[in-house]
Formats: sequence, C-alpha cells, structure tokens
Amino acid sequence: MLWLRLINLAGWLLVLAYMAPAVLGVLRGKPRDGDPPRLIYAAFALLVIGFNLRMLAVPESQIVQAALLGLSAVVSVFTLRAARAYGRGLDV
Amino acid sequence: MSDHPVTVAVQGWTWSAGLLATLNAVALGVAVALVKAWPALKKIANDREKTALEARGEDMATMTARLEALERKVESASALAHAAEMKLVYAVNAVQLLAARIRADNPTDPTLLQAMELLAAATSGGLPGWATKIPSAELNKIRGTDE
Repeated sequence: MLWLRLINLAGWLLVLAYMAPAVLGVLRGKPRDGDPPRLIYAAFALLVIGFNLRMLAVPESQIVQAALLGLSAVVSVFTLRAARAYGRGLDV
Repeated sequence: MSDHPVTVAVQGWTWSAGLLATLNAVALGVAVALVKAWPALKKIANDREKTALEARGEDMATMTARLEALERKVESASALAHAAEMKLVYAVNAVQLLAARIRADNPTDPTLLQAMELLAAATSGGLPGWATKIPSAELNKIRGTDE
C-alpha cells in the first residue's frame, strides 16, 4: 500500500508541476483559453496529493482533513462552472 | 482541532516543515487561482459562443453558395435539354417533309412504315412497335401457333 501511495504521489506531483504554468498564468491575471481546465487538473492533483500525504504523515489531523474537504467542494463547483462555460464544443 | 502544525513550526526549519510550507503555498496559490479564474470563465463562455455562431454563419454561407451554383447548373441543363428537344423536332419535321412524297406514291411502303415507327419511337422515347410485339402476339403469329 505504501508503494501505491508513493507512485500516486509521484504521478500527481508530476501533474501538478506540469499544470504549474497555467496556475501561474491565472495568478498573473493573464489566463489563456486552456488555463481553467488545467487549473482544475492542478487542484485535483493537489487534492490527491493532500489526501495521500494526510494518510501517510498526519492521519489524525482534523484541520488538514477540513481544508482538503473544503478545497474539494470548491473544485467541484468550479468544475461545474468551467464545464458550463466551455460547453461540449463542435463535432470532431 | 489538532495543534500539530504549530508544533512543527516552533521546532524550526526542518524538512517536514519546509514541505508543509511549500504545500500550503501551493494550495493557497491554487485556491487563489480558482477564485481569480472565475471571471475569465465568463469571457471564455462568451467567446466560445461567438465562435460557434460564426462557424454556423460560415456554414450557412457555404451552403447558400453551393445552392446557387447548383441552381445555375440546373438552369443551364434545362436550357440544353430544351435545345436538344427543339433539334429533334426540326429533324422529325424534315424527315416528314421528305416522306410526304413517298407516302403519296405508295402509302403502304414498308420502308416508309418502318421509318414512321422509328420516328414515333424517337419522339415518344419508347420502344418501336415491333420490339414490344415480338415476344407476345406477333411471335405466336410468326410461329403459326396463334388461334
């Protein structure tokens, strides 16, 4: 189980690193068209990393749990808004 | 609430404290970015809607152009068909004029009758009389098996 957790951490850390330019672009106030979805990927990666790290390092921490659950709820709302904004697009 | 993070903080700069601080910074950054990206979504939605409408308009323009080209083709084809029909009418009339003299000499001239049948087939577009009759009654007559 520990190995699986570490593999998960490595993978999602890579995702987080890959999505970093999009997050920085949004923070700088110059978002590109593809940045909001990448922001969702980054936030989701952060959630996965956070839950995994919490189980590994601070399994009893209530504040970390609350923060993660709060972020998760925010991400769900943002995901719905982004999905509505982008629509399904043209046929491929 | 646990005071675990505070305990880590007062122990000074350790690896776990650094990791925690980094993660906190990243989480804060992502959270702020989520809030900041919210208005951008409105603009993206408007842009995409506009693009979709423009694409639809272009499609309509393309379809209209193709329709107009098709209409022109149909009109020219109709004119050509009319011209061909008129040529046929003139030719048939010319042959009838030539046949008038033969008919005056011998109204039952077999060549004349056959030519008239071919003319009828040319103007009606159907098969000549002998072509349709051969398989049925005429054929029986030729064989001598009719009543």
